[in-house]
Amino acid sequence: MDRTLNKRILRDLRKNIGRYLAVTLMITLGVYLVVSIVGSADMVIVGTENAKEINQVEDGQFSAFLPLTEREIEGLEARRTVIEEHFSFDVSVADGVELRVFQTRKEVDLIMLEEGRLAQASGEAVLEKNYARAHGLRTGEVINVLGHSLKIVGTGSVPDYDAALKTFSSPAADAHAFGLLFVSKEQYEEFRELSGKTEEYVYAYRLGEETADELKERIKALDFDYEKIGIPCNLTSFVKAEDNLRIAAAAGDVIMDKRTGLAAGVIVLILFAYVLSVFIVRQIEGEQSVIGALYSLGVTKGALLRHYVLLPTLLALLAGMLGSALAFSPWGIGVMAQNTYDYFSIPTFEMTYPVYLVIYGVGMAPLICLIVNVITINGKLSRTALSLLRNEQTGNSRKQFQLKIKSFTLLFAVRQLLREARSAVIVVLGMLITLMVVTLGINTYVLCMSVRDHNIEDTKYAYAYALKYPEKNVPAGGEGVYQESLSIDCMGYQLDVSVIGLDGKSRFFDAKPEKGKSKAVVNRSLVQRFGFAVGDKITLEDRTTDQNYSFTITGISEYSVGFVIFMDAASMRELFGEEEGYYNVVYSSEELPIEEGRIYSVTTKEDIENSSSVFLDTMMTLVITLISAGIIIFCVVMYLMMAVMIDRSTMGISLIKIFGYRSDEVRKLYLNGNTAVVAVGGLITIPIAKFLIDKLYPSFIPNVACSMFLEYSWQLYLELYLGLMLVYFVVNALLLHKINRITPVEILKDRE
Amino acid sequence: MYLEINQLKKSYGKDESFIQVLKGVTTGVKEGQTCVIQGTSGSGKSTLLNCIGGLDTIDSGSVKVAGQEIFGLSQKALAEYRRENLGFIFQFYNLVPNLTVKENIKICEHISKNPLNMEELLETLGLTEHQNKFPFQLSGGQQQRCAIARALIKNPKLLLCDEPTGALDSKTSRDILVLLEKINAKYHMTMLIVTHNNSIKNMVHKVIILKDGLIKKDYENEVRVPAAELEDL
Repeated sequence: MDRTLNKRILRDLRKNIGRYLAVTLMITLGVYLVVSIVGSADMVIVGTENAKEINQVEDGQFSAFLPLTEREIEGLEARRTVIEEHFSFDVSVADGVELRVFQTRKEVDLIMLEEGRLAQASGEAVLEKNYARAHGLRTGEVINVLGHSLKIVGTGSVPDYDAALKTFSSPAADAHAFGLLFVSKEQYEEFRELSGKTEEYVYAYRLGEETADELKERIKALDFDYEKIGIPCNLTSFVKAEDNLRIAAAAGDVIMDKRTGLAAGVIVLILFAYVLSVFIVRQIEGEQSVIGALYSLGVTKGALLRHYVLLPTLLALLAGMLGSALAFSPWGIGVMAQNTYDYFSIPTFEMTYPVYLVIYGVGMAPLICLIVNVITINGKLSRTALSLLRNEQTGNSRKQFQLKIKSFTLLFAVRQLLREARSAVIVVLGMLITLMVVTLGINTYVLCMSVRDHNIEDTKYAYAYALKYPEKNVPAGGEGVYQESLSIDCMGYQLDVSVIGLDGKSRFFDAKPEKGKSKAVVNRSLVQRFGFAVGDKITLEDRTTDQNYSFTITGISEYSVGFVIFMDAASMRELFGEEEGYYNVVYSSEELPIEEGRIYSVTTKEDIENSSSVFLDTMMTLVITLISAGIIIFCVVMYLMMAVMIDRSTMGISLIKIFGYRSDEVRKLYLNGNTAVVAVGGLITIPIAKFLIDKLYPSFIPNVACSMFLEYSWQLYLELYLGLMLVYFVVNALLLHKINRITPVEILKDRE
Repeated sequence: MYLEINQLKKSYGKDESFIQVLKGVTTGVKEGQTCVIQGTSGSGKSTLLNCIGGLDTIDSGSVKVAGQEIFGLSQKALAEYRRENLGFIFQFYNLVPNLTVKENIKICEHISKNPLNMEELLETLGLTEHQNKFPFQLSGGQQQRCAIARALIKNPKLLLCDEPTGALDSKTSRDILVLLEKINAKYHMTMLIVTHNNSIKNMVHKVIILKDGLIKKDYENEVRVPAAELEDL
């Protein structure tokens, strides 16, 4: 019997090919997107993990004020721990463009070449791959550094600059403004002397028979000549690999894509499965008497249930296979990973085919479809043969009650809406899901714009000089501040917080910190991310000394560049054990004549502007993709559901056309209810979608130290609502065409 | 003549499936008359009713209602024609299932310029106590009465009834026919009743019998039997 019945499937498919094709394509698109996103995330995560043994990624790094002696390093390496100097200095190669110069690594954080070979002699260099691409530089070409021409012999990446952040507190990697240059030892020495800059004394380590904490204690215990450096400790930073924002940053970034993608995939698939179930329910309703006849002839409910769920399940299976095949094709995972490759400095990983993802891609859609359809259809097939044969209208007390509405048009629209409540619910749920997708895109855009605009607006200085060897007096024209870097835990990520000590009123910052070692003013970014308020406590950690610092918040500064707290400078010096008048950063409105050798780094307003725009540039593709995907899903779901509503009302529409109803009157009766659903649904779902995405949003970017300004202006809300209604009216216009095609003869056909 | 039909032809399909349903029907019905169109299955009686009702297109010929030619009218004009002139009653009632009795009747009241009084009509049709019920809560006869009320509320000049008792038992059929008779007398509506029931022809003014798309008989009853006295319904 099943086989005989199932012969109808192809006929049903042919009859309703448009709608089935639309849902199948939507499921295919959904599976393709989810598997591509999750697959690309997996590829990066697994690739990063696999690359660890090849590139000998560090277990951590520490920096010292002065270089360690060979003997000290030998001592530290006694427990089979490998330590390698990763000294570097930054050179300016163009206006606003800097290269960090390293020697070619030999033991830790090895260069993974994208092409070419390592630099072996003077005059040769390997460029970080994203910088090379951003500047259109290729292997074999020449780059000018400090007046010397270097031949680019290779491009590649290193695992300790997976996210090529200039500093740990940089908001974003910007390959246009900052890159890495690896040269031979001789070339490095030559450049160092030429640049006149002091080096950053960073040591990378791979642990042997000890823990990182044990190594740290041994470093602290080294017998430094403190008088020589004038500070109580030579160790200036100690960062474990897991706390290093630059290491495995891509894998850390995409892990959220993976989790979100898998969860969002299930939600979207449930939506489409429900859409398919509405088609089947509609079919069953139209075949009640046939089903009754089949029951009376001995066909079982199980056989019919299998028959009715077969088509949607097969379509979902087909869509799952197509979507997965596309995702694992060159147009899938590779394309989706391109954004990651564009932003992060990672090797080109080999494609992976995780078994769970293949099963998810191929099997999740039919499984969900099967479950949703069985649940939905079961009730429809549970009536008696006689009841079905008579085509009895069953009363639904929830839908059929008296209404005291005087306007017939309104009354009819409400009745119609109650009748089509199931489809209306799907339309609203579809709206919510699509609005969440769209809101995610808009939030990303708003945040990027806000970060860019606020960073530019709040940066009142033109130059920020971080000094390694400050003079006793602050250079004329500059404002000297004492600045330290602590960290705050954000969903498992250690994000840098700058602590800025201000002497009185500042020209560049609006904060007015009170005196006291445990009092601080926090900036707007911290408030937006962590919800701090005046009177709250904020606890920050010094990862070098493992010491925690707790501050009572006495005010909020509007300054929003990164995470910053402001303290009274004297109190801060006392807290961190610095002498009176000590400063290490100079802010100024103009370039200052500070000796190169004293400078650790210079940040200009232009740097801030450029790096702030990177967010927007890198995220724009995602923003457009999310908004487009949202609109497409919205259109398809709305059209299909409303088309089903109209199909269910074909007889009614035909009937009232017989009575002489005009097209506009038919539209008012049958579509105005939908307009109300969308109009009211939009008013409800927009704030819900916004609320939910705002709650989820920080978890999408836990590793980025930036503000969380996600507020929409009322104009934006209005535009979103009007956009929603505009899309609806386009769908509505298409549906009107469908209504116009229904002739009075339909009802006669049904009779015959 | 209120209704004038001249050489009406209607066919369906083409090539092998071509079928000439009406092969040149010519007849007429006076204003206020009741008329039965009778015939066996496939004789073309329902097609004739649909053509008169502007529901189906005409191949050739002429259909005039109150002097207005139906042939050649656009769909929009046909809708206006139905709106202004016609009431329809169907074999299977075709009530809107999610509307109450009163709301079903309101469908036609809503588009009528000069509707009959709703309460009076409900009373006439014995629906007052059922006005707030939904179709599934009604018997077949009650549903058909609701359908009649819906057709009548517009106060149409021409009432087209397609097998109005086809789905009813004999007692209920008689009740409905009595009702139609009463309505004809009260509102002086012209009524066309398509039926395969042989008894109904005795209660109407005029009888048209179709066979194979042509009029076999077309006559007026000299003596009419009241609906209440009809036998073999």
